[in-house]
Amino acid sequence: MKRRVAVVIRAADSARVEEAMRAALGLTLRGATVSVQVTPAQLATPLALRAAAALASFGHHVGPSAPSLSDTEVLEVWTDVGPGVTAEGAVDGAAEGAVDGAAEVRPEPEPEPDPARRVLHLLRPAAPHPRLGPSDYLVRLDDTGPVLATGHGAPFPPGPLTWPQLVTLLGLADLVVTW
Amino acid sequence: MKLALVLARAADLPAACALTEAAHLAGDEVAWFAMDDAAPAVVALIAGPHPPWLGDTDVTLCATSLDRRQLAGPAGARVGSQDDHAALLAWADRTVALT
Repeated sequence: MKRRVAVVIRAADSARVEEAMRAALGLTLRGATVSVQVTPAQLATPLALRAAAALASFGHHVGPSAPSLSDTEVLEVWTDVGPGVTAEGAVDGAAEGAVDGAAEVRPEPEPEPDPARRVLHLLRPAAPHPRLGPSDYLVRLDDTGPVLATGHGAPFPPGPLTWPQLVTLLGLADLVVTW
Repeated sequence: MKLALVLARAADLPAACALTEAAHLAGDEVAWFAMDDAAPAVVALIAGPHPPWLGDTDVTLCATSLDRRQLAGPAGARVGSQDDHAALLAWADRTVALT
């Protein structure tokens, strides 16, 4: 099945931008229409520039404008790797690929909410608050587990969720976006 | 529901595991594509005393991400390409991109 996929790149680290652009290019291999939100300043390496040129030559959108949430079926937001615990148990804030003190890049404008669709926003700790549509759900991914912060019409009250409850919300959403 | 998880950050692995276990309990099918920082973390997960639900999860590791870290795919894991990433998104009803 062909998909409409959006890739929003909010990373400042050139290695992460390259990975996002490599993924975006690869996502075209099964016929998906891909829209990439990225600024010219982020395309700072030859690999990223080549991927952008290839995508554009195939007719896919690459630029700073936000993807439409009206027809996007899958949205990947690529951010910098923040401090966290690696599989080896080390804090990865200083690991390969991490950004030392760099501010996260936030291309403008933000994706415009679509009142006709329900987006489940998953918010990592310290991630910027996204724009919400009237029927969107906002779930924080806290260290202690998921927490429903906003959920108009959700089958659960605001507050801590179990993981099975989050799976229920996944099934009720038209689109899932992790920030 | 067919649930796809795209993993590109090691720090998101605990959330991915919890979500996958819950989805299996609900009777959903789950598949992963792991690349970049998540690829070595998933290798470690598979190589360790992995939880029972992992055997019911279709896991593909990005070969390029492993090569760059001079890692081999563990036994039982599929090593693939961005074509598998694209195929996963085409297969799924819902995709959670932990990128």
